Amino acid sequence: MEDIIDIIVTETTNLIEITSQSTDEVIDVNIIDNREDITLNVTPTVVEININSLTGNFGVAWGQITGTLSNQTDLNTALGLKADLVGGKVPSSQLPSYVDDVVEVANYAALPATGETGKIYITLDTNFIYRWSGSAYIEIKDSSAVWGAITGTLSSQSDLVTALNAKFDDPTGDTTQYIAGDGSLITFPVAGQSGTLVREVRNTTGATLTKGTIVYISGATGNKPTVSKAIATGDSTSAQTFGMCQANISNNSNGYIVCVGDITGLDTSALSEGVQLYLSSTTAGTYTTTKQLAPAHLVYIGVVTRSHPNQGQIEVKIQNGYELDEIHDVAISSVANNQGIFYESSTSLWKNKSIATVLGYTPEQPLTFNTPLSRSTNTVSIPAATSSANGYLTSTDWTTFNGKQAALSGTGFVKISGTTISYDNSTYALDSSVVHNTGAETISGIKYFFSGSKHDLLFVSETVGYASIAGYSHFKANTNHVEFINSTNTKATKFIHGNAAYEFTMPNASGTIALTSNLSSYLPLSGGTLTGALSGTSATFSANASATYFTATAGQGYNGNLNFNYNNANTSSFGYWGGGTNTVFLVTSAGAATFSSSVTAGSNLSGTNTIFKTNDASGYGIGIGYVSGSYGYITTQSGSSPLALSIDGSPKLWVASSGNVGIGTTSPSNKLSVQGSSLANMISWTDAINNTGYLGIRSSAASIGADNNLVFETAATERMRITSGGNVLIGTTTDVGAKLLVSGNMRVGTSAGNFAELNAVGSTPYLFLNGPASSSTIGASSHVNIFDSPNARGWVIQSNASQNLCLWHYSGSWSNVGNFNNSNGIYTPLSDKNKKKDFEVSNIGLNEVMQLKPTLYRMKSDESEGQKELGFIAQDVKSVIPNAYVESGDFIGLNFNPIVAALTKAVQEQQVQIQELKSLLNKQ
Amino acid sequence: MALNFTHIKGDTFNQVAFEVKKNSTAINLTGATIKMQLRKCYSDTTPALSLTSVSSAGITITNAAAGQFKINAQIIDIEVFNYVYDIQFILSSGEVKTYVKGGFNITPEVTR
Repeated sequence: MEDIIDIIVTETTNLIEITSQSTDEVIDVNIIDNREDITLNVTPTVVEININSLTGNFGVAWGQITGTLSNQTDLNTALGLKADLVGGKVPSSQLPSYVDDVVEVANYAALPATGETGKIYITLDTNFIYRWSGSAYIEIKDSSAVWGAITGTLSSQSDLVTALNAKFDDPTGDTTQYIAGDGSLITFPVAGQSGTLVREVRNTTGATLTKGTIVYISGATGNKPTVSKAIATGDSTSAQTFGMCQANISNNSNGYIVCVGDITGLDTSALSEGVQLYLSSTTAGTYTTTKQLAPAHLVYIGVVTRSHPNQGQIEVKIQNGYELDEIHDVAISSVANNQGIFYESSTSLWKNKSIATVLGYTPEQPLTFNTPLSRSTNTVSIPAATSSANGYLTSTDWTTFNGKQAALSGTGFVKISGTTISYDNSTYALDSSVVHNTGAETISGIKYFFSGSKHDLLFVSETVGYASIAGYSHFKANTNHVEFINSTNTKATKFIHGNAAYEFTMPNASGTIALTSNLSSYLPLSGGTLTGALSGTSATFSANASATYFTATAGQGYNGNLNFNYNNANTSSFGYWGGGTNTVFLVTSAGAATFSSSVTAGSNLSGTNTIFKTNDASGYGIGIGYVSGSYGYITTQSGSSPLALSIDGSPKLWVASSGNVGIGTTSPSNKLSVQGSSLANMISWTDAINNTGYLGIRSSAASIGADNNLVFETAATERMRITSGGNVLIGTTTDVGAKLLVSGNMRVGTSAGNFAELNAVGSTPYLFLNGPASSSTIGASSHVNIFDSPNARGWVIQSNASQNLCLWHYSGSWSNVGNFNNSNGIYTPLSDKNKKKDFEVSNIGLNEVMQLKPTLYRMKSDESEGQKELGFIAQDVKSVIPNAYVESGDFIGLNFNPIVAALTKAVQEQQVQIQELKSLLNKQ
Repeated sequence: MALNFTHIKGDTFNQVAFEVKKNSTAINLTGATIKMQLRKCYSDTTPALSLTSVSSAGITITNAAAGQFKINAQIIDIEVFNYVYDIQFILSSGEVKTYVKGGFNITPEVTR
């Protein structure tokens, strides 16, 4: 049998013609998605071509027609075997009768009057099944009853008994047992030993009450209580605590509450067995192991009888605590603060009463015992009085005091002298009505006093006596003041010295005191200290219209300055504090301030914030400050650095006569010279948060200046150094001899998209050039420039906007001389007619190509014995195609462009020869 | 059986996909080489057009296990002539079969 080969054209839109030849094998052609341009030629007609599938515009569904369609008759015959669809369905007339055998009717009455044999009839109201017997409908019934596992025939009651006996063996138990669902015998529980008392309730809380929730009866619906979550915050939600939910009770559903007995299947893992549970006063529906105290209500829920994460068990027994007024023999009404419960025998009840009511009086406040009284428990004590503390008098004190009682009798003053107390009945009081104007009154201890006239007080020398003087001065009392009255009985205007030249007047109305000639120039002070302060908004010494000064000798000093003179004797030597514009200066008679004596630090330093002169070991200069032994000097001294700044007597900074400043050296050779050791020889900068940078010379932290390195440090860590040899090291202290050595990355440029970076960290050092996003201009994007400036020639390797690697050459101007393609790496050399000149047709062609010697070879540097390379030897090519030979110094290479041109020329020459040969053949 | 194509010179020949079965079972084209050549006559020594599945040079085996291959879409611009062609299958077993053949008529183009 020949193989049947199917050539299935699954896709085409080409013009296809299918023909058959008598020699063909039997071939099935499946054409899918074809066009109507297919021509089917069957030559000769007897050849069998099976077109199995033809769709699309040409498509005709051939269905499952099989066989051979050799002519139209065959087709008609085939079609005649097919059903004619009506509305897409096969009419029942074309169906075999058994397809429509089941007839469903609404009920028995709806059955056809005459049925058909072989059909099944179903009455939908009863689901009974009938058949047509030929004359009537016969119900089709299952002849075997559904007796489950009972087999055999039940022909009589005995058979049924036998069958039932076979279902379960006669129980062997007694009347105290019953048969459980699993067939086992269970003993009826003894009355009163029921493990659990439950009650069906209804949940109308609006949410599911989960298993174990503690509820109280909050109402009722129908004959069932309604329950809500109990909480021990008040009587209304706790006193009627009913039990715990036996299982989840959905909202508006009924469920069971365990009122007494066990509830299992709970998570009691956090509880110990035997622990008592109380209704929580914080979370409704839950329990707590903490016994609830007022104001919370105490409701005892039950005891944990099994501690388990999911099989925990609680023995429920609700016991509600009671209010005081719920106790039978307690009668509480109108409760007020501070009342107690007291027994009342007349009613045999405990009642709430106040303390005052119970006692019959209101208790006093507790006594306060002030010193010296004190109380200890129920004892009040008074100590005996001492010389320094109050107390009670002892019998001895009473006796002593009583013995002195006589000395206190009488009138007058009590006089105490030593330990003696006596009575002084002398009269000391002055009577204001007594006028002592006629003679002297004498009071012991007050020599003399007279009253020259009523209300006046005269003082007279004891030796002179009132009566012996013709006139007298006296104090005269006037309204609200005392007047000084002279001997002529007028008001005194002067205070007169024994010498009239030294008198001075009383202050006049403007407060001026007129001095005599001897007192007119100055106010003499002798002894003592003039203290006090000039007060007021201003204090001005103005003794002369043109001069304001302090002076020891009249007429000395400089007007407008504060002048000082010495001992009022050396009138030619004085000093003054002068005032200039924003300046106060001290001037001596010689024109400049000098200190006339030496002041040593040891003997003269005192106080703080002092400026003083010094001539101690630090030299001659000015000392500044003295705080707890610390002071500084600015001194001049001998030597090359005459000016020094000293701290605590030790020079720290010198200024040489040349003006150079030295720190740590007395001979600064430069404008600023710093010497020291370790970090001290470095210059540091520290910011406000103690970040410190150093600049100095050191070779290491412990060795100073051994190699004369200049070191830059930050945070006490060396960052950069310039070695004694002039090399710059960054991030390393190892000098490899390079002028610039960087340990880490080097980047030029701060832009994220425009920089060059040299990275030698890790195992993959790289040079990274990151230029503008796009540019076709040389130098405007990332590039490497190799330039010979002296000879003005160079190369640039650039990644251009098309992502090709471009080679540019400079010889007076930049020129793009070749590109490497970014996708395939193919190199394209420059071949622009605009860049070329002196064109000439090449004759280097077939003849030269025939002289080329393709050669297999290995490079001498290739030590492997792998596949040889195929190519040319430059020296061989040189004599054939000199244009391809390239020699530059030690480099010898081949330019393949001339070779390609030669090959092209060779092919062209060969083609001419081929055409000639073909012409000759056609003529034959 | 002959499957004849008609094509206008210089036009793009549209892709034609084939599925080859033998006794209703796909011929496994794994390792096979499919070649198609057009010649002016059977004795012509130089084919006017050669297509091969090697490196998908005109023919591509799209699903070898399912026996599926295609003549790639390509511009056919050869001399106007009513060529003969066949498609030769060199199976991996070495068996050589020619299941499809016919005429390939290159008609002149009017618009150039």
